[in-house]
Amino acid sequence: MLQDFLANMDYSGLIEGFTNFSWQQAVMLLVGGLLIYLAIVKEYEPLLLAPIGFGCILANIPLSSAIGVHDGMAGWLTVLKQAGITTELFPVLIFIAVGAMCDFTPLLSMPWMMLFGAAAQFGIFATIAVAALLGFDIKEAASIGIIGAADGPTTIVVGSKLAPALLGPLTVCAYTYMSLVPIIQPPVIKALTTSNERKIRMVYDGGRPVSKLTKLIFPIVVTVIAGILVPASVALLGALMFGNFLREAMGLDRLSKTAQTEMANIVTLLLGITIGSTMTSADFLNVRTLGILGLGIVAFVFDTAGGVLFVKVLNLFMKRKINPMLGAAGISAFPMSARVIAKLAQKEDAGNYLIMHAVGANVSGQIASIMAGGLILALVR
Amino acid sequence: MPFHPNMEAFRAALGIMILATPYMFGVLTLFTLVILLLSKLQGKPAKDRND
Repeated sequence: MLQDFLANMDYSGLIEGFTNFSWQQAVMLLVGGLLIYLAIVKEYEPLLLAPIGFGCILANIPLSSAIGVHDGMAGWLTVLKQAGITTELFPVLIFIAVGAMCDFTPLLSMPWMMLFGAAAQFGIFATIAVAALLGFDIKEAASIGIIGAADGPTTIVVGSKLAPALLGPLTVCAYTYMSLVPIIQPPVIKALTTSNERKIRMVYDGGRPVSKLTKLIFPIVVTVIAGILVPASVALLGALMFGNFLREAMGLDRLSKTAQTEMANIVTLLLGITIGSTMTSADFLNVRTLGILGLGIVAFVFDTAGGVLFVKVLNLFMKRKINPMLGAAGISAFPMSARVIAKLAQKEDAGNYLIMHAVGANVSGQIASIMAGGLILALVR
Repeated sequence: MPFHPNMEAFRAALGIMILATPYMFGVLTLFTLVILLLSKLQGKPAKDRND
């Protein structure tokens, strides 16, 4: 009886995991493990890279029921992808959280810092050109260039619209390089500035006084102007500004705190693991991914160079010189870039405190990177 | 195919750079002016918040 049962049993379900296992999937399992290692051991963007790494592992297990459609049922990661990435919901929610965490006071007290954010987006446009020279079509090139926004949600939105097949490598690249800002930016800054330039002191006297009313109206006005001038940017910029409005408006403390903590954590978790699930071996293990990884660094280098050189040009006309390192803080990687610049300044001159100026440039980079993303979406169709 | 120059895309990329860069500087300059204008608004100085 038992013998008959065992003889007639279909064992294929037990071994199909082995029979469908490919070396490409094995490599991707190692990549997932590497991301988890970087997150946990090296502490590079752990909140994002750890879920991305785990999602990558889930997506590359042979016949994984977490992704794709099995017996008419979509895997949970596929459901999350359709609900959160395709619809842009997760990036928008992340920006509400970021806006609620972000204090624009340094920017509002030194409004001219806004231009540093614009200059440090140069890497986006330069990288699009380089990517085109490497053979990518304009939609793919634009999606690769947006890595230079140093801004994960904007990369996801632009990438999912223009080159959905590249979304996995694009996002991993954006978040990984954002965490590597302390390694990427200093050598570029040092190559483009002299020691004396890096020692230029910037006095922070509190800047212009910023009233509560100004801080409250700023997010609304920016949303309306950006919405009219760059409509494609309004979803993300509006979310960022809405989050900031919650922070600044009286009586909304509970909403602000929820956006900064529980909501930020939940969406980060879901976003990370969903992005990881897009890193299937078929989409990730190819020469194009290597190209994207290389071009991501190019974008960050050009961003840094663009910001530094912009300030150096400004200094040709300014009586009171600006420390050119502040230009490099105009990228969107917040607050990483501001910290890097402040540390570099103190390394050159222990009494040089650039942190408030750097934060001002850094938050302007957040606005500028979204504007750049919106412009790309408006111009590349 | 990747790694063979895509000149059509390259021309488009240059076009984007030429259009987008001044446009972005223009919009952000406008934001700068708006902030300057907003700073004229009367109101109590904001307290530092460390949420």
